[in-house]
Amino acid sequence: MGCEVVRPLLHPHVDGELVPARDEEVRQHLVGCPGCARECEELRALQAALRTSLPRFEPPPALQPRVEAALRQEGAVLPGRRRPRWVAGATAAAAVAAAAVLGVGAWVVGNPWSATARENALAREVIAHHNGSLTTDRTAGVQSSDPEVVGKWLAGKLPFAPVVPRLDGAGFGLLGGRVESLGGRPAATLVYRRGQHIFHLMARHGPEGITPGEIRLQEQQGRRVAHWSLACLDFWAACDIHVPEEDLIYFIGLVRKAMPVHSTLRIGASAQ
Amino acid sequence: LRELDEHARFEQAILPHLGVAYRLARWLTRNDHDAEDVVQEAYLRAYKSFSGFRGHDGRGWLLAVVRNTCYTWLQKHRGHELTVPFDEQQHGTGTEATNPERLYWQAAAGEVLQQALEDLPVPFREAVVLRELEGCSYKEIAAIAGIPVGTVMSRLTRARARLQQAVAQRLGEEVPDGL
Repeated sequence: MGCEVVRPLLHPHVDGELVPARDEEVRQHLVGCPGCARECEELRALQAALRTSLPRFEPPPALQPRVEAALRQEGAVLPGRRRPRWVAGATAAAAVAAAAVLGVGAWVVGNPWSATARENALAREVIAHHNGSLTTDRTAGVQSSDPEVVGKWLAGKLPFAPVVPRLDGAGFGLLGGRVESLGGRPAATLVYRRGQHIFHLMARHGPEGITPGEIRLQEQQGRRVAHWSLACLDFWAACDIHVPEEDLIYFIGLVRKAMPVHSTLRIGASAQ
Repeated sequence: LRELDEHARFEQAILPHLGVAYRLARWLTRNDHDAEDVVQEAYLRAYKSFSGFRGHDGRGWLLAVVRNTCYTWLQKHRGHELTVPFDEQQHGTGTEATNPERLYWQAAAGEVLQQALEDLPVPFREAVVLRELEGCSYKEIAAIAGIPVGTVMSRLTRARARLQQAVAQRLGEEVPDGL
């Protein structure tokens, strides 16, 4: 395909909206065309800037009671005071149930209002990396569905020995891994796919602002982000907001189960 | 009992999406207080027409209601904003920022981008907000805005070119002429 055919396809390509065959054609073209490739990079830079530097408007606390009151006047029967937040109510219960079924032994905080500024900043970084996985063709890192291959590649590039969970039995196929910076520390970054959804897992040394056994969930910029810790590692996961919260909890449960705690404890060791 | 089921369904499908409803209204009205008024009005409209909702995507359905409520509100209070044309003179499809580094965009930071986004005509702004900030697919945006998928694509393409150009201009970079 020539540039004149490809150029109108660059936006849907970057947005992941092309059918696979057509997308592959665009990819092929980009390999040999610096002009179009550069335009793609520009687009991705714009997207990253929009997602990370624009303000995130949140409804003022008074809006929910105000809307509830207006709805009641119209005859709506609403849950009343037993749930502090709609968001926390409906999904947190399901999440706790899912965690219990998995035997994760964790408790879930689904209230994004409780997150600190630091936690929010880290979550934004995780989302930026997640978006990068969705939209870049970047080959930095290793692309393999074999956890051993990815684990070997990561080992030695990090101040801890990473464990790469094998989750294909549960439908989470490994796409690859790389090292990213998160909060200024190097983080093992693993990318899984289940169906059409990408699950992004990051682990770095030193848990931060979270107690063991706790999973913090929040929603930002159309993504779900989870934060938890295990032994001396700080874990983050991200996925699209269209993934049901229970599925993300399920993923986290699988990851936690797959982590042999003793082997993640070796600080500064190489897994070789 | 049936009516109680409906209430439960409304509670589960619609109520949890206050955040995204508010954000869309905030970007389209560009004002905190107006966004609150619109969201309240949208929830009332959603409640009244909820019996017509049979799908699974409560979020998309509510966003369509919020979007329509925004348009009605803008029509009533700031009619001129809905008639702002997309000025083709200001954007060229060949516009490219001259520095491909991400640092360039980081330097541009939020203020310039926010201004540029708020300056876009409403139909273009809503496409960008839904796609980039809320992660909606073309299909979802098409359903929310009641337009064909092809229109979503062309609006995004034009809007992004404008945003890139706005940032480039603000930073004093030399912008090559459009094609």
